[in-house]
Amino acid sequence: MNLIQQITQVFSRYKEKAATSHYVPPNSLITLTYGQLEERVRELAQFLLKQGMQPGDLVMCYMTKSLELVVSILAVMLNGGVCSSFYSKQNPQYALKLFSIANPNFLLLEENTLKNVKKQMETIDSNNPFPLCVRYPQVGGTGTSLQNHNRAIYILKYASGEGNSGKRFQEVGNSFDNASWCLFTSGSTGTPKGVLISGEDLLRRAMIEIEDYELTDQDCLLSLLPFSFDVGLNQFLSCFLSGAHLVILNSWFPKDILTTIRSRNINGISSVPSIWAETLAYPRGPDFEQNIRTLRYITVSGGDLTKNQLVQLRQYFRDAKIFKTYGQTETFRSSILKPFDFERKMTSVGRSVKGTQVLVLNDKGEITPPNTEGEIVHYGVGTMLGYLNDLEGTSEKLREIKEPVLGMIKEGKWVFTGDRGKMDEEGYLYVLGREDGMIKTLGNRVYPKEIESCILEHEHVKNAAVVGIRDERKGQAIIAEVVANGALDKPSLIGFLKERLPYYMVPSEINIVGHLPMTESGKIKYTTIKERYEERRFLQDHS
Amino acid sequence: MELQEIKEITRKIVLEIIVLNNKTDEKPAKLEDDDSLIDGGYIDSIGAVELIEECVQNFDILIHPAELSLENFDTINRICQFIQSKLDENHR
Repeated sequence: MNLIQQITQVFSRYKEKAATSHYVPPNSLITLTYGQLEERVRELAQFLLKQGMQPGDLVMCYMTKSLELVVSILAVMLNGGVCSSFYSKQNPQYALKLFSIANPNFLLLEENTLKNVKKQMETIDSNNPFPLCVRYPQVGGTGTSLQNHNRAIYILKYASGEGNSGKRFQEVGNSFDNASWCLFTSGSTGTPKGVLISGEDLLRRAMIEIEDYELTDQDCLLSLLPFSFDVGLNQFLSCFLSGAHLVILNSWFPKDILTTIRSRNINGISSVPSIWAETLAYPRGPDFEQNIRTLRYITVSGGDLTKNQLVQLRQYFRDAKIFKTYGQTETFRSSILKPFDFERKMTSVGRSVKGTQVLVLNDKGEITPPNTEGEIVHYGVGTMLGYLNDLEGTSEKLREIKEPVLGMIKEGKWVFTGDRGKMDEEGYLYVLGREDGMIKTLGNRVYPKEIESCILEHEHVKNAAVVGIRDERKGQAIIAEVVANGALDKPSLIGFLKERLPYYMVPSEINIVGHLPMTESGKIKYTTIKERYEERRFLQDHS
Repeated sequence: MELQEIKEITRKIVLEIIVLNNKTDEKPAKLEDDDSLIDGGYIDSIGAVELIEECVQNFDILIHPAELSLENFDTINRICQFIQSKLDENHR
C-alpha cells in the first residue's frame, strides 16, 4: 500500500477523532476530524480533476500554514500529483523565480499570495493577461472561527505548464515518474533547487519517525515548522499515518508555544535551534512544570545548539525526551541522537538512522579513521531522486559508487553532502560545518561554528553568525554579527574571545545587531550577511 | 498619546515591515485593523522581531518577553491596545 492509501486508511479508521487544528492563542481554535478531513480532501481532489489535473502533474501550494494547506497537500497527493509547498511570506519575485524553475501545472494560492503573484506577473508582462483562476471555498471546520481569515483556495492553471505533464522529469535524464514531492532548498549558491522525493521514500521516512518518536493515535503534536521544510513535512506525514492530532501554530513566540502546550495538551514538538534558543531565554514561571507536563518529546533538528544551551534545554524540559537529528534536504535524516545517549554524546548528532549508511570520506574517497575529518556521505532512506530540471547539479550531488572502494561502502547512489564531519569509534557523528562555509584565514582552516559556539558561551549573547570575507592580507577576514542578550559591550566580548580562541580565530570585526537574517526554517542566512560585507568592502576599495 | 496617534504610527510601522518582509515595493492593497498579521501570513517570525524592535523605539516602551504573543501583536488593533496600556503604565 502506498503512502496516500495508508493515510486514507487512517482517515476511515479514526473518523470521529481530531486530525488537525489551527490554533491562534489564546482562544481561537478550528478543528477538522479525520472524517471531515477526508471529506474535504476528496472534494478538493475531485475539483482539481475537473480543472484538468492529471497524475504526475506538479502542483505548487503558495499558502500560509493552515487547514486549507493541509487539505490542499493531501488532495494533490490523492490525485497522484507531485506536490510542492512554499511559504506565503516569501517575496513574489522569489515565487515567480520558483515557478520558472519548476514550471508547475497548477498553483494553489490564497487571497494574499494570489494578489502578490498577479501583480508581479502583470508587471513582467502586461500584454499577457493573468491566467484564469477558480475559487474553491474555504474548508472551514469546527470551533471558534479565526477572525478575518479569508481562507478560500484559488486554483490557477499555470500557463507555461500546460501540456508539459510528464515531460519535465524526463528532461533530467532520469525516470522520476515516481516523484511525489518537490522540496525547494535555497542551497549555498542562493539559486533555489527543487529536490524530488519519491512517495515510497516519504513513507519510509515517516515510518522510521513513528518508530523513533514512538508516535501513537493518542499523540497531539505541535506543528511550528513549515511543510516546505523536510522536518515539518515529515512531522505532518508521520502524524497522519499514526492517527495523531496535528496542531498548527503560526507563531514562534515562546509564550505562544508554552500556552499551546498547556491548553492543547501537546505531547511532541519538532523544532529548530533558533526556536529553542528563544525559549531558553524566556523566564520560567512558577507553574512551568505543571504547564508542560504533557510534553513527552522534543527535537532539535536542522542545526545545532551549543553545549551550554543543550545542558540548559535538558534542565528546562526536565521530563521530556530530547532527540537531535541531522540531515539535509537531499538526504532528509542521516543521523539521530536518541534520548538515552543525550547526556553522554550531546555534542554529536548521533548515529546513522535506520535504513541509511552514513560515512565520512577523505579526498580519495576512502573511509576516514575514527575522529578524522572528512566529507559526510549518505546512502539509503532519505536519498532524493534528483534535482528538478538540473542534471548537472544532480550528478554532482548524487554519485554512483559502482566499485566499492572498501568492502564497507555499498554500491549505488550516495549523496555527497558537502558537510565536513568526523565519526568517533562508536559511530557517533560530529558535524564541523559546510565545506563551502569554511574560512581560510592566515593559512588556517576555520569553521564558523567553532567561533560561534565560543561567542555563544558569553552570558550576554543570544545569537551569533560568523562569516569569512575576501581579504588581501589574510586570505579571508572573519566577521561576526552578534545579537545581544542584555548589556553587551564589544571590548569585553573581544577580551572574552581572546582568552578562549587562538589568535587567528578571533574575528577582526564584531557588530552587535538587533537580529540575524533567517530562513523560514530558522536557519541563519549566511549568504545575506556575507554579501552585505563584501559589498561594503567593494565600495570601500573603490571609493 | 491619543489612541488615534498610536494607531497612525503603528500602521506606518506595520506597513513598512510588510514591504521590507516581502521585499516588494507594493503595500498590501487593503489592510484592516483587525487583519491577522502574523498568523495570517503578512509578517513572518523575523518580521515579528523587527516589528517589536520598532515599537520599542518609536514609543519608548520596554517590552517583557512574557508580553510577546499573538494576543498582543497579531493585529494592528491589538498592538495599539497593548502600546496604550504600556504608555499608561509609564505615566502612573
